[in-house]
Amino acid sequence: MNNATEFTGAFPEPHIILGLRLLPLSLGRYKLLKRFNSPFVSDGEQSLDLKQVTEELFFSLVICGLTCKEFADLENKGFKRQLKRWGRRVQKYIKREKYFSILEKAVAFKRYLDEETQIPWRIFEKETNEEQSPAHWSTSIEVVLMSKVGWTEEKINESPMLEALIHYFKYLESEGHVKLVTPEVYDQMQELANENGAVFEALVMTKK
Amino acid sequence: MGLRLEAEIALNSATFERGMSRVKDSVLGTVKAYALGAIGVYSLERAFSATIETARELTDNSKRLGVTVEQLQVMRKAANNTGVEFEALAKAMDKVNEFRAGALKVGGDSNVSRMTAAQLGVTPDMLKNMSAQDILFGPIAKKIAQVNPQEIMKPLRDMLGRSASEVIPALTQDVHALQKQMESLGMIMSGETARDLMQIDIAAKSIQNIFINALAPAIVGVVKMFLGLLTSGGFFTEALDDIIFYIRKITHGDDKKVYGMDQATASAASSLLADAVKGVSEKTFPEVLANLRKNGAEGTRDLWGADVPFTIGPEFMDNFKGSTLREFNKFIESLRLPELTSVDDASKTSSDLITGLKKVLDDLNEPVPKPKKPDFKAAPQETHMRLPDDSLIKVGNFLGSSRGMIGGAQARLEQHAAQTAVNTGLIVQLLKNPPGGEIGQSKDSLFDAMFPQ
Repeated sequence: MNNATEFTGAFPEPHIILGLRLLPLSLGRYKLLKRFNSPFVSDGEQSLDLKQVTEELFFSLVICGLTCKEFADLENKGFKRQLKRWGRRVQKYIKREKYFSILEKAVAFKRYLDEETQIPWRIFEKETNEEQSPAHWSTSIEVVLMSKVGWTEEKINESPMLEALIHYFKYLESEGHVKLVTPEVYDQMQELANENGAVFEALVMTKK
Repeated sequence: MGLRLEAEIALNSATFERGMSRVKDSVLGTVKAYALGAIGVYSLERAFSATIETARELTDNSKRLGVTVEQLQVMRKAANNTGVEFEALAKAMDKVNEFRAGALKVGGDSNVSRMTAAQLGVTPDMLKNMSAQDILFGPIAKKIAQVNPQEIMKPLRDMLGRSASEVIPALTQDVHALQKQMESLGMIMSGETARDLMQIDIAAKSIQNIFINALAPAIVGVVKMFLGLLTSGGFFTEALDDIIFYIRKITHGDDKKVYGMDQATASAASSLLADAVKGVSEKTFPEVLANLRKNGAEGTRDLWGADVPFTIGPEFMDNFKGSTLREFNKFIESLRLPELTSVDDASKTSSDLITGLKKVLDDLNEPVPKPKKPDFKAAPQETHMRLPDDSLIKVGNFLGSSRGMIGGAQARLEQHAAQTAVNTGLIVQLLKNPPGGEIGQSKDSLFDAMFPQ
C-alpha cells in the first residue's frame, strides 16, 4: 500500500466473481448491502449454513453488479432478463470449474470488499474528548462529503469507496481533526512507544 | 404507494411497531426473493450442490492419499500454480507409499530402494515416520532445489514413477508459505466443514430418492396449481419455470427432448397447436389436421423476453399417430409437460408422503431467512461475539467481522491510546518520584519519540 492508492482508488482494478463484473464498492452500494443485512458487511461474526451463504452471496453480487439507480429499478423487465441470463451463465461456469466451491467465491467477494476499503494512511484523532456519534460511520462520511466537500448524491452512490474515504479523511485533516501518517511512520511510532514503555517499566521496577 | 404506506402506519399508532416491522420484512423479503427468483432457483441449487460435490471429492481424496483435507487443498494449489495436473501429484504420492513399503521390508531389493532414497536425501527414519506429502515437499523438494533435477532424475523416477519429471515444478513451491497465505485469505475449507457438507450431501441424495420414488405424486397437484399462474406473467412464471426445470433435472436429467425439440420449443408448439384446433369440432377436425399435415403452422415463442418466430413443419405432424380430436388434444398435452406424465405414473396416495413432499417443496421455495437481530445488550463485545443461530455448519469464520478500514483504524487508535496511557502513567510516577539524573535524559528521549515534531 502506498500513496499511489490515492490515484488508483478512483479507478480500482475490476473484480469478476461468478462471471459477473462488479462495480467499484461505493458508499451507495455499501449502504444497500447493510440495508439488506448482507453478512459480508456485518459488524459481528455470523454463522451461516451453506444455503444462506449461497443466497446471500448471489444477492450481494447483484447489488455490487448494478448501479444504485439500476438496483432501485430492479423490477424493470430488462434487468430481470439480465439476471436470468446471468443465472444460466453461472450454471455453465459451475459446470466448467473442476473443483467449484461457493465458499471460495464468498472469500473472493470478501476480498473485494477489503481491497476496496484499504486506505493508504493511518489515522490519529487529535481531539479525543468528543463523544462518539451514534450515527453509522457511513452516514457521517456521506454527510461530510455532501455538505463540506461538495459531493453529489450520484457521486456518493457510485464513486469508489476508497475515493470517498480519502476525500473524507483529507478534509478532516485540513480541518485539524485528525492527523494522517503513512503505515511506515505509524510502525516506527508504535515501536518507539513500546520501547519507551518497557524502559519506564524497568525503571519503575528498579525504584520499587 | 408511499403515501398509502404512511397512512397505514400512522392511522393505527398502537400497531406502529408491528407495521414498521412488516414494512421492513416486506421490502427485504420481496426484493431478495425477486432477485434470487430472477437468477433462478436452479442456478443457486447448482452452486450449492457443486460445493458439496467438491467437499466430497476433497474428503475422499484426502482419505485415499492419507493427508488432511487442508493439506490436500494446499497441494492442489501448489500444483495449480505451477501448471501441474493434480492427478500426477496424487499418483506420485501413491508411488512414494509403494516405494516406502518396498524399502522398509526385510530382504529383497530393500537395500537398493534405501540407496535410491538416500540419493534423494530421504533417510530410513524419514521413510518410516513421515507422510508421503512430507517426504515429497520436505527432503525431496530440498534436494531438487540444491542440484540440477536432471542429475537425480533416475532415483526420482524410481521413487515417483513416470510422472516424476511432470511434478518437479510443483515440488519447488514452498507449501508452508503457501498454506499460510491460503489460510490468511480464507481459501481453505476445513476438514470439519467438508465432513459436515458431506453429511448434507447424503441427506440431499436421500431426499432426491424419496422425491422420485415416493413423493412425486403430490407434485402433480402443486404444479397443476401453478399452471393457473402461467398466464399471469412476472415472478410466478419464473418460479414455475424453475420448479419444472428442477423436477425435470431430478427425474429425467437436463437433456430431455420432446420429439427432438427442447422443452421450451415443445411447450410453444403445444400452445400453437392448441390454438390451431381451438373451437374446432370433431367433424371439422379432419380438415384442420389435413391442413396441418400439409402446411404445418407458424407462431412465436418467448426467448429472453423477446418474441422469436418459429415453425412447426408438416413433417412434425408425423409424430401424431391418431385420428380424432380427443387423441390430438392428448398429443398436445404430452408436448406441454411430458415430465409430469412420469410423475403421474409414480402416483401414490399416502397422505404421509404428500406431507413429506410439501416439506421438500417448502424447502425449495423457502423465503430468504430473516436477518438475525444483534443482541444489543452485549454491544460492547459485539465484534467478538457469535450471533445465536441454529445453523448446521459453521462457516462464519471467513465471513467474520467486516469492520474493514474504519474498524481497523478504530482498533489501532484504541491500541495506540492504551499504549500512550500506560506510558503516560509511568511518566507521572517517575515525575513524582524521580530516581536520579539518568531520568532526565530518558524523559527527553521519550517525549521526542512519542511526539515527533
